[in-house]
Amino acid sequence: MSITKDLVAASATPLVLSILAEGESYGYAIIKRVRELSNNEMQWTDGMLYPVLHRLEKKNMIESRWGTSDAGRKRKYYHIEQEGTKALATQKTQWHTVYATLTQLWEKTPCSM
Amino acid sequence: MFNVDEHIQQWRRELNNAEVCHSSDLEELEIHLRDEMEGLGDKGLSDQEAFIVASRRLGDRANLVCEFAKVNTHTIFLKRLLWVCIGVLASLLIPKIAATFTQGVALGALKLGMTQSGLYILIPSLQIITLMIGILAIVYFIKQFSDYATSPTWRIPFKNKLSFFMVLALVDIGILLMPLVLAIVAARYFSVQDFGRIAMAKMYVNTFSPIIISVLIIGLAVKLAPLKRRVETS
Repeated sequence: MSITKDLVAASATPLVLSILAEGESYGYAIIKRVRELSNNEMQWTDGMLYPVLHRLEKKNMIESRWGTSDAGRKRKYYHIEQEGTKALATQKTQWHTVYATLTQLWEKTPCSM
Repeated sequence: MFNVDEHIQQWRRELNNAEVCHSSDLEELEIHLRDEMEGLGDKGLSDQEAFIVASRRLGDRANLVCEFAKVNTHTIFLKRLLWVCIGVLASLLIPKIAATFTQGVALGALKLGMTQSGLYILIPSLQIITLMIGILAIVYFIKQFSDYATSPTWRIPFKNKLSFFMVLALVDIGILLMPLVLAIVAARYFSVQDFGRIAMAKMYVNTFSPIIISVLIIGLAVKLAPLKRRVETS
């Protein structure tokens, strides 16, 4: 079972912000992290991550800088900003609410699950 | 032998042709592609296999272009604005060319002994025909070179477009100077009566050309409409 496109798109912002909250990272590493955490069930089209990152950067939630990797390869690194931390807190509350609402409904009808 | 760099360059060119990505976007995507290919290579895939899988994972061109277009609206707007400038400049240019050309031909015809009634036919028809050819040439050009272009070889990169814009501006200045040259020649070899007769004949142009041009514009609008829809659905 893989997650539907809509849900992947909706969760992109909180996922990116949460991963960047752990520390500075870059596109490919973010994708890899999502793949690992979701046991490959969240299949992002890799290229779609970058427009998300750029949009968050425009909103001042994250910031980027060009740097070089340990292997000497050029890379664009992103880190979270204060705006982003605030947005992440809001996102967290919202996702918890959605999750709690669904859980309550599903606990009432356990036989159908 | 599979040439990795050549394929990556080709892939990058195709994305670049859509004119929605900054070069830094392309750079970032290419690095991602190479990282992904390296990861796949470690799993035992050949260069060719790794390239195919990695580029597939990055997403197909149409979707990528669509997503980047949502973020880079500012750049896209500027590029479109430049196309509008080209159009405006060209539309200033065409009537000027038509008028100057007609004036030249009419003066030549007068010298060769053309009658006044002959001028009445020659001037309006010549000016309208050159105008129509000019407008059709602009439309053909924009259709070939803009984002609507179907063949990638017809697309020119942004930088060249800018230089084209400059060349067009220079030609425009040249054309604007043409009537001056013509006036000097005319003052030397023609009489006032000759000019009066040409001016009379030109009145007919002013009467008929707006009608013909409106018909042309409506025709073009109808022709362009389905073309735009086709591009959006593809």
